[in-house]
Amino acid sequence: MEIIIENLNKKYGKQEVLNNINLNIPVGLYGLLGENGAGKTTLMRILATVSEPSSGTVKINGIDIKQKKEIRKIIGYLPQEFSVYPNMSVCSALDYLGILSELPKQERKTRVNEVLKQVNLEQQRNKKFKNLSGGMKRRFGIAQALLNNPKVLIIDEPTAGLDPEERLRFYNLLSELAAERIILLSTHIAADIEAACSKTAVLYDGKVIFAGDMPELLKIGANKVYTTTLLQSELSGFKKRYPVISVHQNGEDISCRFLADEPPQIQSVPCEATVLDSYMYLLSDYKREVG
Amino acid sequence: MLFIKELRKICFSFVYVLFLGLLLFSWHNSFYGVTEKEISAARGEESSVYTEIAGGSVLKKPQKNAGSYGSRKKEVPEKIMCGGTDILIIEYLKNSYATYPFNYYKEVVLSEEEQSKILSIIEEITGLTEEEINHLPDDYFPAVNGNIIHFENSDVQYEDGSFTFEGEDNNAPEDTDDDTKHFISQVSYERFKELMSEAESIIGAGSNYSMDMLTEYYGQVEMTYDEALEEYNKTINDDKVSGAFARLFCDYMTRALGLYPVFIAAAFWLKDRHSRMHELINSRQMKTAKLVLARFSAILTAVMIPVVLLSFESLIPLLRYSADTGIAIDVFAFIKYILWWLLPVASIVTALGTFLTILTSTPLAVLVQFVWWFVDSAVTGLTGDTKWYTLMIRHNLLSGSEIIRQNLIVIWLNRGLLMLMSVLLLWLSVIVYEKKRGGKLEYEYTMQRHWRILKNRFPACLQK
Repeated sequence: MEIIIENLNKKYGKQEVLNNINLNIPVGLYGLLGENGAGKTTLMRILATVSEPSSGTVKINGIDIKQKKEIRKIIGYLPQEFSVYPNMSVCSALDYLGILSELPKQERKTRVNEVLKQVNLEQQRNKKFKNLSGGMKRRFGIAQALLNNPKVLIIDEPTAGLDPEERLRFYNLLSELAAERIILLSTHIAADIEAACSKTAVLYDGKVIFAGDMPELLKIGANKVYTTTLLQSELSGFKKRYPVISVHQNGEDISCRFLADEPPQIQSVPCEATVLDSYMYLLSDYKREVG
Repeated sequence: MLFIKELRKICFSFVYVLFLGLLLFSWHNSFYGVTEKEISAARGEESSVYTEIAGGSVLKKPQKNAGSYGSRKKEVPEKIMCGGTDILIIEYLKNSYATYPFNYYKEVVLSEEEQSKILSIIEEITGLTEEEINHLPDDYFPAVNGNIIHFENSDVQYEDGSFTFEGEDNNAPEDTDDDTKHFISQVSYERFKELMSEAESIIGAGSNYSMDMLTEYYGQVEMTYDEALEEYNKTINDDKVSGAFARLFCDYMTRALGLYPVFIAAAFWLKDRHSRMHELINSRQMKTAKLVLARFSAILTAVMIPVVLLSFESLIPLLRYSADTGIAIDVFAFIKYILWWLLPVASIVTALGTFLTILTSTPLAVLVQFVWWFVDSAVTGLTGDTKWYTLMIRHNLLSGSEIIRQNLIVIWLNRGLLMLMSVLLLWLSVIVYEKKRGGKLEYEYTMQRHWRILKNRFPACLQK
């Protein structure tokens, strides 16, 4: 089971949102990383059959994306921005969406109970959707996407607005689910990818600028990350010379984590690259190339 | 199952409660109690709303030698010319002409030149000079002239506010050869009609001078006993009593159903987007046609159920009346009339609301339906004015089943057309929704943006 995307393009009028995307997505948790406006949501929406590609082919489990009804049978989709009729209870909303997924009555009843248990929302089954907390709403989102027991789960920016504890719980849940299906997860938070995904693709300006395993991504930033200590007055000049990833104030001094192709000519300490470092390096390198 | 879910969603929505409120208000103001009143009036306990004879009722058999049997419409040239000229002179002297261009009152004030044209029309009809027209004798026209009542010095007002005045006296001495003292038309009826048409073109559409209006106001004659008996027999035998009430019920309810269902349709389809649920729905495997049809049927059912229930307010007293008097009634009259008269209206309004809301993702349907409803109300007469394009068939009478029968072909054509249009709009809705949910039609962003601009500008204009 895999998703094969070949030469995929998407235009809105003259604006090119996706440009010649080629990806092979296998079973497991696959991350889609990119800044806001990179085209992640557009790609997700195409895979979820709610948007049409301008050109190119997409096959999910061998089924062409144009066969929408067949695709919809095997996917579960959690959009970036979603909600439910506010006065509907959790259980009713899942039942309604189950009907729209054409699940038979008995199966629907069983699946609603199962997914509520999976996402730990059994206690809230009779609560109105509008009374759920942000974390609960996200868990509901996963529950509704799992209703038809999909082979492919498409999840767009799932951790927006969640506190760290909820995020951790959320990724544990996704890791459990990823054992037997493809989970495509889009985010602009590199730590999310690092926490959960075994493979990832990086999108920038509608193009895939990286696709591969997590170690490969980490290798990109290897020997390119350093920390140094600066005075406040030196920071703006320093930023002009090096891409700065993070800055921490230590009294009058500033501890600065930055990227450099070659070992810098200032006093600095090399560091082990994280996904965020590699991602930042990838972006700055790509921007330099494109000019 | 989906149908039941959608029906529940509608029935528990705020917009549906609003719909019920408006429907009940319309029904209560127009039809509530009419049946009970007619039945009571037939027993002589209360006065009828729909019979102008004192103590009469459409359910009361006329008695021979009664003082009056009510009136009926008849084109009597003398009466029409007398009434038409009377009102024209009244309005000319005030230079204030009542018009109803869209069924709403509008006063028209004419220029000097236009007034002189009206004057020459009056002069031609009456043969009087301007000076004589300005100083007409009090009894130049009959005291009661169609819908005009002339209060003269001899009329008496009592302490309780009531009046007595001299009515039309058919036995009055015929000293009426003097056309300066009493109205005598100096033109033929054909010429009179031409002159009235000229007056209407000067004053504007919806004036008192169209032949429809002149006949309505001045073309009434007293019914004879035989005519009154025939009317009664038609109500009892042809309409089986309940048919007459079912028609009147539908006449009033059609006004409500010609507009209100669009609010439900628009709100219902916009709710998905407003609740940000549309992508959850669109990515499901349910067929678009199934979804659109289930929702359409649910709205239509939710709209029609209260209408059927309200008809019981009339049917139940009629069943009691039938049991008391032994007069057979048609138990299914209401349901039959509701199905062929009201269902196509609710259906087309819901279908149009569905289509336009799916197409634009805005409440544009409400505006379009309101315009249609308004224009249709304005151009459709209260009785017997069904055209092939009429949205709301009117029949604001308890009697007159023959008018419906005379128009039966055009009525069937009209209702068939509405149902056909509903099906066509639903089919188009399915096509558009299918394209939109699959991302083939992605103009929504532009539409929404323009709608927002319009919405923001409109209140700004009002504030200015």
